[in-house]
Parts: sequence; C-alpha cells; structure tokens
Amino acid sequence: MTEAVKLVICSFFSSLGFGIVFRIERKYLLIAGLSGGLTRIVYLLLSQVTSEMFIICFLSAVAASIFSEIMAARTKNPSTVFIYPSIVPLLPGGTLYYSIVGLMLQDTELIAANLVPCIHSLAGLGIGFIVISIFMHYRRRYRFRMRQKLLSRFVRSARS
Amino acid sequence: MNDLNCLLDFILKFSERMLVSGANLERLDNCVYHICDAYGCQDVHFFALNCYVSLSMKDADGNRVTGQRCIWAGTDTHLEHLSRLNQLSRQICAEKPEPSSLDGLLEEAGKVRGYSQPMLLVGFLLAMAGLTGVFDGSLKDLAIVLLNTALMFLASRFLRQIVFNKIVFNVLCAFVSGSIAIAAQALGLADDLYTVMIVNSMMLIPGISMVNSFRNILCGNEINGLVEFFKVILETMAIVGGFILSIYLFGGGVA
Repeated sequence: MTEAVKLVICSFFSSLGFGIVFRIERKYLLIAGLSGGLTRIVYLLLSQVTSEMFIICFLSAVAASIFSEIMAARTKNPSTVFIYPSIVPLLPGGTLYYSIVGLMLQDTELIAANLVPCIHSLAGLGIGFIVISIFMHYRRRYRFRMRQKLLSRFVRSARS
Repeated sequence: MNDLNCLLDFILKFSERMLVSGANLERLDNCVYHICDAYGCQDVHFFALNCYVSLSMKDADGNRVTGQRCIWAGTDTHLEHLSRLNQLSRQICAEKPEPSSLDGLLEEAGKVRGYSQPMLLVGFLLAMAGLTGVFDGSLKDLAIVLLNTALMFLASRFLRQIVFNKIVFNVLCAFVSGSIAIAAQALGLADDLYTVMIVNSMMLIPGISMVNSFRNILCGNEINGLVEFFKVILETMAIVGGFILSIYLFGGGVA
C-alpha cells in the first residue's frame, strides 16, 4: 500500500513537472499533476487484476483520455494539453532502453524480454487514446447535427 | 497579394506553428479543413508530415492556388501556444476575418508569456524526481539524477546553438550523463547505475513522438507514423549509444 501511494505521488509530481516542460498554462498545472496521479491509480488497480501490459496500458490510456477530454471541454482547450503530461509516467522507457541495448549488442534474450512488452505498452497507449478521441469526434458531430436540426426546425416553425 | 493567396500563406504558417508546438496531424487536418470550409474554398487537398505541409485549393471562381512549406524547426512542445492556435482556428471559423488580417492574428496568438528558463529547469527536476520514485531509485540515485538533469538542461541550452541534429545531440547528452553516473557510482554516490541512466534517458527519449507515431499509423497517416517511428528508434539508439560509449570508456556492465 505504501509503495502504491509513493508511486501515485511520484507520478503526480512527474506529470506536474512535465506540464511545466511542455509549457501548459500555469492555471492548468495542478490538473496535469492530477491526471498523472489518476492514470497511475488506474494502472496500479489493473496491475492487480491482470499482468497483460497491453490491457493495462490500454485501459490506463482510456482513463487518461476520458479525464483529459472532460478537462478539455471544461477549460475549452485541446485535450492534448492534458493528455501529454498524463501519459509520460506510463511511457515504457525502461523496456525501450533495454530493447535498443539488446539490438545494438545483438542480445536476443534481452530483446525478447523487453521488446514485446514495450510494443504491447505502446500499442495499448496509442489505441487507448484513439478509441476515446474517435468516440469524442463522433459525439461532437452528432451533437452538431442535432443542434442544426433543432435550429432548422425552430426557423421553420417561426416562419409558419 | 489577393485574398486566396493571403489565406494560403496564412494556413501554411499556421500549420507550421501548430506542428512545431506539438499538434498531432489529425488535429491539424481538422483545423485546416474547417478554415478552408469557412472561407468557401473548394476542392481542398491538404497533405502534412511533421516536417512538411502542402495545400492546394480553389476559390468560388475556380482560381487554384498551391503551396508547400518545409518545417526544419523540429518539435518544441509548447502546449499553451498550441491552445492559442486552436482557439484562433475556432475564432477564424466563427468570425471569418479579412484574409489580409490573418497574419496579424497569428502573430498575436504567438505572444504567450510562457515560463522562464529557471522555471523550466524546475519542471525538468520535478519530472525527473518523480520518475526516479517510479523507477524505485534511492535518495542517492535521486541526487545524481537531479545533477545530471541540471547539467543536461544547461548543455541543451548551449548545444542547441551549435548542434542542430537531434541524434548527435542525444549521443553527446547521454555520454556526459552516463559518464557522470559511472563516476558517481565509483565514488559511492549512486546505488544503481541503471536507474540513473534510464531515468535520465526519459528526459531525452521522444516519448510523445513515440505514442503519436502509433496514433498516426492507426489513424491512416501511415507515412508520417512510420517516419516518426523510425526517427524515435534512431534517436533512442543514439541515447543508448551515448550510454554504451561511456560504459565502454569508463567501465561497468552494459545491462
């Protein structure tokens, strides 16, 4: 439990730091930190249920995306502003590092142990974001069309 | 310059600024098509890579203009600027200002307060301190990571004026960082060499580009996705190369 709390706090500060590095507005820094902490909580909870990196990263990315989309809608910013800091603590830096070390040294064992989890994590993160952004795209389009329909109905009734 | 040319010129500059600020291609596509649509442009063909944009469009009278722009600046993620540009595209679609005034609006959107250099350094230190905790580093490791981070930050400000190639830059930074980590471990100032190296490599690894490249591939921008993916691999190989060089020269195991 202590370890988990430590990880969440570290992720919070890491995302906060990357928020500054990515130069988001000062008033949104706390949200950036919270998104990192929240993503880590989801990641830790899922790690208790499964060891499949793809699933863990996919669902963590989905959670980060939902949080970012909500915050983006509230603050009228692109969701990228909140997504970037939230995913950095999840990036598979360690496995990518060791995979490249393995490639450079032609160490097949090192590659096998790290490259597959690295690709699983990346694919999970990528797909997790896309699922939500596509959903949000269609939701916006649907709402836009509904608004247009209502508007045209209102104009027609006003004319008649 | 007529209105159509003004609009073309604006969209190309706007695209460049969006990409340099860290926008993904899907968002840029969306913004450009909406702006073209707002001004009644027809038969719009927009093609973008992270380093190149091309746009061809016709006005209502059938006059066609085409333009390209190479983007040499590379990505310098600035999300506040990106947010302003996004707001500008919405404002343009809603208000449709005179095309000749668009350049002024773009300049206005570029005026963001941002962070001072010391504040950016604090951001890097905070981020790296957090990651040291995530990678379970000790307090000694943390001290060396922070020292390395500060040095890499200062070096990056200095080297940016001289070294334009990201691969060379990564090799140099990783080599210096690796050498300091090895020296620190030899002196008993660090517990785990690889925690220090991996955390410091996270400062250089183009993580956002990595996720965006996957996103591009899955969203139909395969060319950009593949180019970006290979760029990420080359840049990461450069980081690992720098670390391996320091280990070969000053001792220690590779992995």
